[in-house]
Amino acid sequence: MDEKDQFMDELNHLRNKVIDLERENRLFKETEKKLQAANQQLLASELQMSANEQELMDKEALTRQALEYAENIISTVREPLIILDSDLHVVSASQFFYSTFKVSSKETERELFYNPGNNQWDIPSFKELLAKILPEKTVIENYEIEHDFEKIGKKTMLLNARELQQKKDNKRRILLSIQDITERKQAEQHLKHLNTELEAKTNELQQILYITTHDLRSPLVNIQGFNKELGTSLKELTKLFEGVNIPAAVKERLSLILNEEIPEAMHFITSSTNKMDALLTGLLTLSRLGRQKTFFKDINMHQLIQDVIDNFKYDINKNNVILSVSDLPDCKGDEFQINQLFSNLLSNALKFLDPERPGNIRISGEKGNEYIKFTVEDNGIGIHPHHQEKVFELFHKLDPQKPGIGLGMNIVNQIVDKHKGKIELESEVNGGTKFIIFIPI
Amino acid sequence: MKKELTILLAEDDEGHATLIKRNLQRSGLLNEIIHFKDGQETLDFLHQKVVEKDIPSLLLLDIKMPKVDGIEVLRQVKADTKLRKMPVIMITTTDDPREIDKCHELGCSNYIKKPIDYDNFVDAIRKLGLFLLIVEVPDVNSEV
Repeated sequence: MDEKDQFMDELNHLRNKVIDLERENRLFKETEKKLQAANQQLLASELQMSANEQELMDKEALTRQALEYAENIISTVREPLIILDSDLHVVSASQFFYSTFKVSSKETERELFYNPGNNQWDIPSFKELLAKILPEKTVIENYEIEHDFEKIGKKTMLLNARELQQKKDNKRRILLSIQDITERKQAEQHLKHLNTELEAKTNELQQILYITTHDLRSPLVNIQGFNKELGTSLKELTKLFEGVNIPAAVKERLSLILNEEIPEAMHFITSSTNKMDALLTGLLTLSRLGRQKTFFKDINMHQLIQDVIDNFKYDINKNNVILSVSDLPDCKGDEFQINQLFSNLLSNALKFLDPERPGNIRISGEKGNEYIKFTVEDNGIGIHPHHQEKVFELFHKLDPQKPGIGLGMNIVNQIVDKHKGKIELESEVNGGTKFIIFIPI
Repeated sequence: MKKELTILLAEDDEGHATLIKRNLQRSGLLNEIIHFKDGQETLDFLHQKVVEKDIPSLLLLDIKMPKVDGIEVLRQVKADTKLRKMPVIMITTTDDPREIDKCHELGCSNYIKKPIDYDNFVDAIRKLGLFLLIVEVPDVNSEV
């Protein structure tokens, strides 16, 4: 081989090598590109991953928040709460459960519910309730347990339970709330006791009122009776003196005593005892009203008002009063009391008419949705706005000159109260007075 | 009314008793009126009379009395086969409808309210006197 051939060979060889190298270089570049792409992908995945991680963290935070929220609610609720599983083992309990029943979470959690605190919940009726009712029903509402708890003493507890729905596992969870109603119960008992006492006291008072008024009447019979006896004696005495010769001066004085002074004294005794009697009669009526049981029935109001009017016929005719009664709806009430109510209203309307103008009294009624409304209206002297509130007061008399003792409107008010109704008053001085009574249907 | 018939008045208030007696006499009733101050005295007397087989003609009875009250006297009188026929008239200050009903249920013959209004009282007592004058009180001592 000549040198040239050799050189050519070498050249070829080198050329091939260059080609090889170029190919390798290309390959390398390609690989580098691929690598770069892979690297980018990797970077992207990494980014994705960290994003996912962030999301996860956010979600976890949210879950934690929700849990905290729930726990905060549970720990804020002042009722002890406890969660049981289907075997009645404690899953968890609220802080108030531990503090109320003086047990620790250590001796409570995962234990059978009856056990914590030296088996203080080992109450047969309660066990039965949980064991029998709970498997069938998902709710227990306001179940009362009275029990002497070892650590906290005798208490009344109010139980409420709900089954908690768990989607993930099929385990039953029971949320049990236990409310200590011992104090409430005691307060209720106390209130009941006080009410009974109050009722007894009221009865006693009414009895006293009745007896006193009755006993006070007895001496009045004597005062009035013997006053009249004195009157009879006085007449006889006067007659006896007529036929006797008496010096003129003595006769004059005697005449003054027999005809003026003694009769005047007797007149005041009579009028005072009558007044006293009216007061006592009023008190008796009042005490009877208090003692009476209200007896509700359907009342034919037309008939009742007619009866009331009949009783006042004399006054109505004497004073030429125009009395009109419109259609009256029937109502439910105590017939005797409703009669008294309208009698008192009519009596007042008649009493306070203006003598200067013809009297006009109107009784009307109207059926509403919840109430039957009755109106007694007159064109009398009216009541000054300052006095309107006092109308219903006991023994308040608007006009001391008028007969009566200031009891009628108080009785009216009491009767309206007993019927759970209401009464309104509209009045104008010199214009008249209107009483509106609402009796519930 | 026959003169020999006796009227019993059970009334703890001396004044009321005097007023009742005076007015019965004023109305012309001249019978003997025996006054008792309480229910026990009245019952003791009545039991004595049962033994003596001399039942009084009429009992005027107040309700509110010491020891034994009028309602109890009325109850015992009406429960006694010997005394049952004796008319009993309640004279009392009470106008409590329940008390009046109770007396009627127990079998009182009449019920007179002592009104404070004395004219009415006198009127009631006089009418009672007239009634007793006119009406023949049943012979309570006859055998059933």
